[in-house]
Amino acid sequence: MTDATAAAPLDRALLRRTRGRQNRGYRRFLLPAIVTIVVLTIVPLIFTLGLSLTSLSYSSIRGPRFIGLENYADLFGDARFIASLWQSAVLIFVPLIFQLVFGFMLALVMNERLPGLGWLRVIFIIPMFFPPIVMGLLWKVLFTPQLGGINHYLGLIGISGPAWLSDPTMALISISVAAVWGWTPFVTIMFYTAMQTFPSDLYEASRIDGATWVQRIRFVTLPLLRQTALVVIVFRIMEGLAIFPIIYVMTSGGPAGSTETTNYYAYITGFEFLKVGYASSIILTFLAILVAILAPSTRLVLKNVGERG
Amino acid sequence: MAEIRLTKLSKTYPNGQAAVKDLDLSIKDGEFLVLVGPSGCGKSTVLRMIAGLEEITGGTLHIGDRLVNEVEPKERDIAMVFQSYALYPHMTVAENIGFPLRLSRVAKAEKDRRVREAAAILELTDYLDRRPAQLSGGQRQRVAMGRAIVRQPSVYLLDEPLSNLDAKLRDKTRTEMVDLQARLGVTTVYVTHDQVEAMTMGDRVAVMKDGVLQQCATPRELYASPANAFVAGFIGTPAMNFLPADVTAQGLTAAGLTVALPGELRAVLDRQSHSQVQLGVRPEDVKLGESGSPARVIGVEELGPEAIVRLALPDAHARRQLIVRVPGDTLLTRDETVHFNFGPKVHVFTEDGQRIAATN
Amino acid sequence: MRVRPRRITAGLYTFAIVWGLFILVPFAWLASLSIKSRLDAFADPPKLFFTPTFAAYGEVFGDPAFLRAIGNSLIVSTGAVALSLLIAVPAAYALRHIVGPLRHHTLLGILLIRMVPGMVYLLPYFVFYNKAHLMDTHIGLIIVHLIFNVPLIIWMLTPIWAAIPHDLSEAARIDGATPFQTLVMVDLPLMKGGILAASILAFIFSWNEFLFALILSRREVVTLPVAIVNFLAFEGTEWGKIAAASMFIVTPAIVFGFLVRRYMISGLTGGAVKG
Repeated sequence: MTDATAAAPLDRALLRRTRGRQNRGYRRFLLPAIVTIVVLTIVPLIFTLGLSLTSLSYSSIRGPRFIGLENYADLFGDARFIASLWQSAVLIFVPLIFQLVFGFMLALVMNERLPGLGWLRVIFIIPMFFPPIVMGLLWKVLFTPQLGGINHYLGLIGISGPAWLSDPTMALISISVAAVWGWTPFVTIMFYTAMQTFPSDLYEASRIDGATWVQRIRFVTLPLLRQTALVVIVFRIMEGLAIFPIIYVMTSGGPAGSTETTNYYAYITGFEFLKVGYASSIILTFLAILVAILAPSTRLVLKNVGERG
Repeated sequence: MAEIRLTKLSKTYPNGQAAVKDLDLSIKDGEFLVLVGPSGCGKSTVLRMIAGLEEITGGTLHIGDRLVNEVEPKERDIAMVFQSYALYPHMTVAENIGFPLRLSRVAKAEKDRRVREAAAILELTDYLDRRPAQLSGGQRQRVAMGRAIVRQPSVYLLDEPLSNLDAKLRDKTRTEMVDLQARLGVTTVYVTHDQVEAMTMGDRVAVMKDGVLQQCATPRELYASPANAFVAGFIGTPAMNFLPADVTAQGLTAAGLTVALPGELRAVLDRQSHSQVQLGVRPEDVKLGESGSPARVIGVEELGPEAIVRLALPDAHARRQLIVRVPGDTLLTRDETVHFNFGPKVHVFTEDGQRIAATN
Repeated sequence: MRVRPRRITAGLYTFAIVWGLFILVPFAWLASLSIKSRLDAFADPPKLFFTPTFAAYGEVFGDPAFLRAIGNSLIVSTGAVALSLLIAVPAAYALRHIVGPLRHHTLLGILLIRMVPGMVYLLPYFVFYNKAHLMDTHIGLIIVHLIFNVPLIIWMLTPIWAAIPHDLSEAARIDGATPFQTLVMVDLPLMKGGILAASILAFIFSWNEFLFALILSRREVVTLPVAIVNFLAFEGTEWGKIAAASMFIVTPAIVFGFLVRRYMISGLTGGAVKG
């Protein structure tokens, strides 16, 4: 140890060392988590990339070969893949619109603290804890003729109920209904939590300025919710295909492939046709599209991550 | 017991901000040193560097004969009391006080004995089984003290330990702490932003501003011969009056008054060829009477034994105010015109605040 | 205090009630199905009043495959939570104290990893598990659950940990505690509640997990969500049994979920929204 000299001028290396010392005692507590995550996610991700460049197929007697980008080239001519992209978009964005609208309204109801609606706070959250697979079963039951009774009750008010699960368009709608049921609570919680952080003097000021209730929502609440809404949208798009179990039990991607999302197609390709190489290229292409869509907004949304706390 | 020596001690934060600059300070064995200054002056940073909680980025720190720049806090033979007390909420008073001993694997019997001893000194014996949440503010403060004294360290570091107490309790605890420190004779560094605490508690007081040590001296010296206008203004309530003054053949002219200069002061001023200086006058050194400069009374604050009078100087002096300390039985009232004089003691500073000298 | 036109108040009430029915009626329907006889289940028009029977529950709990699935789910979920805690709790503790880009990048990294669709990871695990004889094993499933549970727990604990005053760890350091001693003697006792909540939430996620279990189990370690799908495949018309099994899976998830609902946001979104 040498005697340090007079106050050093700003020295980057010294500062890094200082911070390093501050973190020194704690880094080893972080290490297991980082190793775990790298080994369990980054490594498989790279492995998937590798697989996607091979012809690996457990249904073929020929061993896997390196085929470069051939799988990716094939995707362009794969009508089923193109259709799955479209269906993914429908099953992500259609429920999302309703989740946002209903989630906002529900948050508004809770935020207004209307008397007699305490029970709503308790029950609105129920779907969040539902295993997605049971969510799918639940709606399959409801949409199954006789078993679910929906069409019976529609009949009572003079509507002839559609074939919920066996008509291609209706099947998309049925799955969307289940998705709205299942993930609106998430949106509600996000909006409601954000609303509770809004300073109340903003509302009071707007009242003194003569704003009506509707104007207050329009000019105070909604603009303040923009950032939250962006976060919600990013999360819901990224995790939109977590409805896999719902599709699995409700329609198995049918009828006639009309509800087959890209991850479902990758599942079929990889685990039923056992074409693992091709399935890898499907899911990675899908991931790349998601990232391309979300990258700009993700930066914006996540810039504060880690700053708090 | 130990002496603490800070040599060119510096702290620069990762963002480039310098919190402490080239601090030289020696704290004698058994001394009660108070670090005082406005918030953000770096006093807490100094304390935390002595404690080992803050990395030293320049200079050296010795405790006793040891260079401790790189030594872990527990090896420095120090104890610290935090402003928030930092009591472990899930432990009882006894467990809190005994925690340092438990960590250093002191045998149970010995630990219990020392905890009881510390508790007795601090009158906490009846509360040993309580948890911090069940204690009053003053009791919590004493538990924090107990955790410090139980280790019998050679240095106490106290970071604004009284600032969370109400005024009355603060005064009482202040004297108790001074007595305790005198009895135990342990070197103590005490950080506060309250200059009254500093003056009443410290053997010596170190005044800091913007990371730089302004002056370190006994309270009396600090008051009588402040090193610069900042120290002069910071120490003493009400604060010292500052007036711009011209150096003339007769002496110093300020507020229509001329203060005669003793020979040696005259010589200093002439040697440094100042024509403009700052005159510093403590409120008790402004004399009200029949003669002198006129001023109007704009406020009287009665404090009992004394009163503080605010004077407005005539317009020519740009709406300056003068604060004057007078006996409590004053009959002065608002809007009355009085005459004042300076003396016997006035301080003279350069225009940028450096001390030149004082009369007397 | 809030001035709200009567019309709008009425609208909000209406929406609240309609939404409440939308949430509850399907759930109630499933519950009723689980206590209907087969005949009643398929009655047209649907029977709102019927004689309840617990026969379906009897069948479910009499089915050795289902009982094994309960055991598997408990083993996998408990194991996954325990292992996740072991890795994530020290990490959250470290992130309480680490400053600078390391902290930021770690938190961001684990958030992004959690957002990647599970199917991306599944293919390499499928290939690797086949080779490494981890297919259809408890430990194999437990390992993949770490992918979502470790980030979840870290994200949930970070803001809770931030509420413990920094002074406490500094006091402990002065008192002579090593970082590990501070963790065990000071932080853990204070974090008990938060860690319990995180464990519960992680347990629910493991308990509900379907995709990994579907692919990486065959016969031996079938968990409840997969077992119930097997009912559907092999006993397609046994809706009472399926409903009863569903109720059995859902109930603990909901009950425990309620206990930890106020912690959910940071766990789900990694604090991207200030809560």
